[in-house]
Amino acid sequence: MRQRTVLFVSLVAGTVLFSACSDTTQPTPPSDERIGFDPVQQPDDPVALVRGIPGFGGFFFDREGVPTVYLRDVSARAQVERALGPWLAAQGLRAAALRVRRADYDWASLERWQGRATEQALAMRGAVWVDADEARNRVTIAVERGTPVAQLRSAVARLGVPSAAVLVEEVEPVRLAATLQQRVRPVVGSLQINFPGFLCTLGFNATRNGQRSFITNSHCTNTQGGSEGTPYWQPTSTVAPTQIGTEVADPAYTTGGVGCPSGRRCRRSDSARARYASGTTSTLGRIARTSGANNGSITITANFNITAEGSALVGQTVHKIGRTTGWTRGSVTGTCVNTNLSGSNITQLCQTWVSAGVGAGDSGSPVFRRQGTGSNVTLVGILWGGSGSTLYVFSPISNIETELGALTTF
Amino acid sequence: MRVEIVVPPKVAAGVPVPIAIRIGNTAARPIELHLQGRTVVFDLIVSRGDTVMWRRLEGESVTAILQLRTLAPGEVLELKDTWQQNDGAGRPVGPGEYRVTGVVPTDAAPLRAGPVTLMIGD
Repeated sequence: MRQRTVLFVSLVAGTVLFSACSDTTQPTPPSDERIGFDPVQQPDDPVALVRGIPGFGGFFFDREGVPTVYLRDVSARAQVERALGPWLAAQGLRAAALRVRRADYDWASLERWQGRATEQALAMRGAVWVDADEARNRVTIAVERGTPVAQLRSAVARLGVPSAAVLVEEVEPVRLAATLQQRVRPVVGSLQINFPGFLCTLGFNATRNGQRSFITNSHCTNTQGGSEGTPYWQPTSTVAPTQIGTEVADPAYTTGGVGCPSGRRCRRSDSARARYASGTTSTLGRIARTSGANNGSITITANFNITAEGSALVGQTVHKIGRTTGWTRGSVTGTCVNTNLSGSNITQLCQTWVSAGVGAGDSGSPVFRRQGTGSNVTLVGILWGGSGSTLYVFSPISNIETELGALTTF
Repeated sequence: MRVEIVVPPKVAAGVPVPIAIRIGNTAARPIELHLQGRTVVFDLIVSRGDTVMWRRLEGESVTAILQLRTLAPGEVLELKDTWQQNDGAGRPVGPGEYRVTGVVPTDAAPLRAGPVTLMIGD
């Protein structure tokens, strides 16, 4: 069995994998020792049981789950069965179930060539990984699309690795999985934002009169109600000191309006708009998507795409993604609910309540309905608060656009 | 860090009860707290036996903003409120032994203090 040690060296165009594995069969030439093989064997390692059999070329389970071994001399099957029998029995398998394939190369050679190829190949731009491939009895080198393969093959061949033993295939580059609380560019909905002394969630990107902007809560500005040019960073001013935007619109809370209780100040949305700084990239209509609903993960695995705006009715399922509790899903429990903000004289008129997880820092989260099971969603509003950790309240998109003006959101 | 709840051990019936949660930095370096609310959100729970008699945040709507608060070495953040000796429906509670717990939401596990015992006399 192979061990892989992964070292991340770049965040931008791709990530190079450094693979370390064991080679304990015979003394290795100096060039291999420089690479630094570590004899790593796990207690339950079937390869350790058979690597000493002459001509052993790799062991794996095929697509049908059949244990399969490569042998240069297929008559060595009996030896392999004896060596692997107890281990196979522990897996609930009979030794007779073993399938044998004729190997072109022995495993020790493949591991040695992997080591040599690693030193050259992974130093080249576009290389992704190098594998002693037990399923194909080859050394497999994976590269990004467009990488000059001939150059790579020449470099590896000069190290004494037989060309016929090397497979080169194109793959997508490996990238670090960012979280909602890390720096992400272009900026999209659901990412953490920071203004002096506080953290919130960016709701969604929008264009207003041609101005590239994002929407978050009014209480996620220096003063709730009234625009004072609040500066924003993503994820924080410490991690990414270049400011991403500035508050430009945040209507005042007013008294005496229709439906506003006596002695209180009201608005129909807890929303504000910030203009993006010219050097900050953003993607209209995109919301960061984490690994799954209601699983607590904040790791970004994909994106949702806003393709419509709409409303949510009692009983409908809505989703939100915020920097603290990630993606939570639940049912609408109340619509057009006039809601007092605790500890203030503020009343948010005509809000929507949802039974779903929420936590401190989720303020500003985009709330949406999914269109089927794909990535297209209908934006319905932005979250601003909750009661406890299982009930949250959001301002509907129609209320937001009534107060901030017409927005292009996709 | 030390989190404690401060309640007078005994009060007369009907007398407002001052309650405080104290969050103190006992380390030699500053610590950064992630707390909920533009004004720090905190809950107080008064129970009698297994019954919750009063909860400060019961039915309240609070913002889900996260406040970054730095406590210097030795600094104490105190969160205070007063319990009027009413239950959740506004009815006066009777004499007896009560337990008081404090909860301060963060973006991770909440900070908890107590429970401590409060005796309400005749």
